Amino acid sequence: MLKALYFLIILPFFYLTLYLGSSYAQTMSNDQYTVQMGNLNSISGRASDGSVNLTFTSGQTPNNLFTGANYKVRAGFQYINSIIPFTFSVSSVFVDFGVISPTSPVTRTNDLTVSFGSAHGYQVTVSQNRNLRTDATGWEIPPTTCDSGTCTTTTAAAWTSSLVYGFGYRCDNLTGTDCNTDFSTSTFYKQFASSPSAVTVMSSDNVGRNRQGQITYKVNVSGTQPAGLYTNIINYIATSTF
Amino acid sequence: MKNKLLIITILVLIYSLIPQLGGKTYAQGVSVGIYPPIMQMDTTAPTNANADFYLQNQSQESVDFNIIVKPFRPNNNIDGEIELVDNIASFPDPLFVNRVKVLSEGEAIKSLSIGPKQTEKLVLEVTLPPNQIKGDYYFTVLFVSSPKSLIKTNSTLTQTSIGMNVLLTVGPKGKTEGLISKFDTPFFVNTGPIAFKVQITNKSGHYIAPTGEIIVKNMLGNEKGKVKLMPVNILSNSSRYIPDLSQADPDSSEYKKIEDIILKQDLPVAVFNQRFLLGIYTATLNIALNENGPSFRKTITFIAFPITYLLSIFIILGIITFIILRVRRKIN
Repeated sequence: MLKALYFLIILPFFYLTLYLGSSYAQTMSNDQYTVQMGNLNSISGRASDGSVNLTFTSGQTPNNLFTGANYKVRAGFQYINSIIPFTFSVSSVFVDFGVISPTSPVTRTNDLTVSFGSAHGYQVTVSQNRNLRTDATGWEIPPTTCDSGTCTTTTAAAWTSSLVYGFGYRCDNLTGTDCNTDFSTSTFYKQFASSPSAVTVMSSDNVGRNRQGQITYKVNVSGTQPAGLYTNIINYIATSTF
Repeated sequence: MKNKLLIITILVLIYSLIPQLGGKTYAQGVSVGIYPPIMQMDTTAPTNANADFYLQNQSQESVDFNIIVKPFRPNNNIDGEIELVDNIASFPDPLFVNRVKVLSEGEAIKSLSIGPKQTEKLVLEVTLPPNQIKGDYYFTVLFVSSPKSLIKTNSTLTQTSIGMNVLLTVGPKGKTEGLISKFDTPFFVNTGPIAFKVQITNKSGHYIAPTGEIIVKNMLGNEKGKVKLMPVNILSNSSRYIPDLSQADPDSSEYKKIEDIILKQDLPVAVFNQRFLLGIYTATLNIALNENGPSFRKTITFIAFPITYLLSIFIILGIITFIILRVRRKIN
């Protein structure tokens, strides 16, 4: 019976090990070299030892010029020697606030990552489809107006008081400095713009590799807020510069 | 013994089923990629222009996308960023959106699903009738992910969208017109590198990609260096700040040398990368709005006086003089 018990204890560890996802290594490096992989071909990327850069491609490369009767299409930026896709990641689709107790603000975070690839600059805009709302009754948690009542979709302001209610967000730089500078003070929040309006939350007009920002969502309700299931959708749109 | 084996078998089955019983893992993120991030289409009606592009799902789960076409215009910062517009009437032809299609294996689609770590080859097709209104059409083909989740708690779902910008000209193009709306640098500089603000205004009815350079000369008329400008797109009836070409590759040694200067600026700048400068210099901007002109030239002057270097030299000379005087006094 003891053997069976050991077996049952060890089994979950084996199980978890087998279920670990693949690492899909796109970057390999040692002390001297960094090899960045990841584009549309079988083998391709960039090798560098700090002083010498080498780009390499194996397999079929995408066509960058398309012509036909009465048209010519140039794909990509002609001055950027890269066919690595412009990539955008959001770390979590589901942001769970759990039970929201009156005057106890709940904060949750979400990481946004942009890899420039073949783009020069970029922007990420954010908007919400509606206020946090209960589908059944239509009750809403309004956008925060922050401590001084001055924050809007385009103006950030301090939100520290637990007696100020609503829903808002801020952006903190994790890699690079691309979060909107309105959030340079750590207590500053903004309201979400309602679709179809949207505001820029991260952007860069310079070239770069990977940029990462952390979005903090904050929600706080008063004692008179009706109980219910409050939900909405936040839409992030990433586009390159032109 | 048989009972033990039965218990073990049942427990193994329970362990195996735990993930399935748990349902969806809501915390999964979405990662999407697109190549190319921009297309430039020069057309004359009638035509059926088409070009390949690629959409990647780099997530661990499949992602469903809806396809939306939205017009855009340059934002107010004139730095190349866009502002999506919901008013289709901003196009010269309000029905234009109907002429844009995304094809998958020859079929027009409005949505698609891509498996984890998969890349989908798609075709952008623009069909222009003979009477298509001439002009520029700037639009973004958006791929909007549809978040999948069963909501049982107070929560927010995030929708991840990525877009490919398209600059489409329905020609023939008219006359190219524009001007150098800004070319300056601080008149007095302590040391290099020098950041030039170059802003070009396009007054044409079509987008342009000007080519040009800045030539820096010293007071004797000797050329000290050239700064090649990046041939960025400037949309019809708009302005844009232009950076230098070395900024096209973030891994280049030239870019690394000027990266600090660039990141300190609010707007794109063209950088003349020379550290030690002394005297009066002239910088001449030569720019051609397109292959056939028109071309423009503007010259500015700046003075470089390396106060920091000179102060250091004076301090060192002072110390040396002081030591020499002390030694001489002692000898005497």
